Amino acid sequence: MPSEGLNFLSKDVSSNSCIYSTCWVIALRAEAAPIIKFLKLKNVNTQSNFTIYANEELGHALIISGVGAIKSAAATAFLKAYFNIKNHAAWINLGIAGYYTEPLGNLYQAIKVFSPVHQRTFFPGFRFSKIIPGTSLLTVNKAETNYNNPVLYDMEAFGFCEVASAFSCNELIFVFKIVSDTPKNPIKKLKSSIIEDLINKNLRDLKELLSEINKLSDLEMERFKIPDEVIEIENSTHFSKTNSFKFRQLYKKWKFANPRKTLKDLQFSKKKAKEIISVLENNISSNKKNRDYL
Amino acid sequence: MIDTVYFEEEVLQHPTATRVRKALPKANWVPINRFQELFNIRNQNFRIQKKNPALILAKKFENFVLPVPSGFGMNSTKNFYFSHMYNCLYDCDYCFLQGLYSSANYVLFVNYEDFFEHISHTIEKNKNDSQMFFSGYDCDSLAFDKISGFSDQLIQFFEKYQNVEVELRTKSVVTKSLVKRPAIKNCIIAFSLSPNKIAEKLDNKAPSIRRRIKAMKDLADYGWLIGLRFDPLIYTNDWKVQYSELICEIMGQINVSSIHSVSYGLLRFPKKMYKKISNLHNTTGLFAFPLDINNNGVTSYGKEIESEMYHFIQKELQRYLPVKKIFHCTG
Ligand code: SF4
Repeated sequence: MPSEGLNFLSKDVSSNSCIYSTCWVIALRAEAAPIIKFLKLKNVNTQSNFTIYANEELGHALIISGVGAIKSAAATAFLKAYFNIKNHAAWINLGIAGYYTEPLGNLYQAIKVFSPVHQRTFFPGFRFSKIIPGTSLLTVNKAETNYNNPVLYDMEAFGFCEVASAFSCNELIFVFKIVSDTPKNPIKKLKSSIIEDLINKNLRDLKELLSEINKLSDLEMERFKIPDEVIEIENSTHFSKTNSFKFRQLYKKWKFANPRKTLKDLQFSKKKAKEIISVLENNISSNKKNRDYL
Repeated sequence: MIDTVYFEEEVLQHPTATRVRKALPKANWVPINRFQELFNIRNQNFRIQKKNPALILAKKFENFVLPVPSGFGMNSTKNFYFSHMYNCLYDCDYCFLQGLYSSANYVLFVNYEDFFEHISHTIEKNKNDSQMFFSGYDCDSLAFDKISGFSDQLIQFFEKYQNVEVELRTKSVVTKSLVKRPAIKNCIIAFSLSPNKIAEKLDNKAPSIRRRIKAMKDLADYGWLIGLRFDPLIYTNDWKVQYSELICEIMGQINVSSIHSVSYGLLRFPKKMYKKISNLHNTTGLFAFPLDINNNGVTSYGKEIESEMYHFIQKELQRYLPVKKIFHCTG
């Protein structure tokens, strides 16, 4: 069971889904430290240059990417491949950022991420405007000192979005930034303790965001979920790709009509894909006119 | 309430944008170049987006007026549609917009004046034919009206073309702008209807059937012509009783002389669209029916059920209405 206080993140994970449903990509160790502590993540020995932390029980994995869009993109891809993360997982890029206006320490969701170098834009994430405000963000190559536009400035989000959006749906890709420097408080060498402080002060909002993100990824997981009895049949019978698709579609209809039955009740004689499909088709069609479809 | 408005920078000063700004004073306004960069991005999740759609204000440049798909029109020889908006406030399980677009965000094209100009040209070009224009093909015509103010301008425009008909198709009960002005005889307010039990299950976020009937009655009392649209007809074990009761209830409340037309159409999707929509709704009973795919690639209930539903509904409607007011829509 998850530790007390983190129950809101617990998942009902079926046997055929990946255990990690929330993936963090964070540039600096100091930015990651409060999250590692809060989620009780443990270091994973990857035997690579990337540092990964994870908590299987909660389904959270975190990678420290280093600074810059390319590093962020590479780390996102590494984490995906390392744990074979499924496409219902949520991806979060959290970090500090410059902003055109005070105050320091505010948490924002970047709902528009633009790269002046690539001249391309992402619009990541389901918007949580009831929890934190949304704003635009520019991913720049070096730390911003002019703050000319009414936006956030970071060095990773674009690279992160570019890769993460190929893994999960756009609504499950999140960029959260905490203001660390502004025109009145321009960027200087920020001490790790100050960065950790900025993150720690926003843990309450982050917790609320995680709870909502958890609900969304659950919804996606539900949509992609293949029932165990379907997997069992597919593992013991040869299904072509087309037949497997057909079987799964028919199964849904059959299950709607027979919510209390299991596939075992159908007693397939030969256990051939075609036979299974035809038994399901006949079963669904036999009484189709008398069912309540509401 | 809409929390975010993405706007093409070019449209910010347009009067429609000003109106929207007044209607949504608390929204976060985010500039974009063209609406497609947001609306057409890959790998969007329609169902999740539908929980909190944003509004996109854009300018339309082409395809203002298009001919309706065959089998969609009614009495007129020439039938056209226009879409000043993509997507809808409501969330009906069978809505084809989920299959048509990958985004659930609302797109509002602010340049209504260009729509009217193109409609004028179309009217002029086809002046020797009877013509009908359909609004609400890619959205609900009235549901967004408090924010968009579109129907008011549309009606003012069509007031000048008394020999051309226009239909506003809706499930909305936002009829304020209509009842505060005199009705015009060439504008049909067409309500999409299903039996109460079906609507309660499938017409998510839309007003109840009782409220829709009340809105129709009010509009009819104010002199507006009403259209009844039973499209799509939904099959379930007791559909006959349900539809028969619905038709009876409506006819008991609306005077036949206020009814411009009634149309009905069976549940139908192009094959690809069906696949996309049914995947979005894993557990909905609507998609649990073993639908057929015909030679034209259309997914439907199949000939036997279609014929049964067609004959039943036609007969039920004929109990109350002359045949010339009843149309079977296949488009
Ligand atoms: S009212 Fe019409 S346009 Fe709106 S969701 Fe329902 S079917 Fe779609």
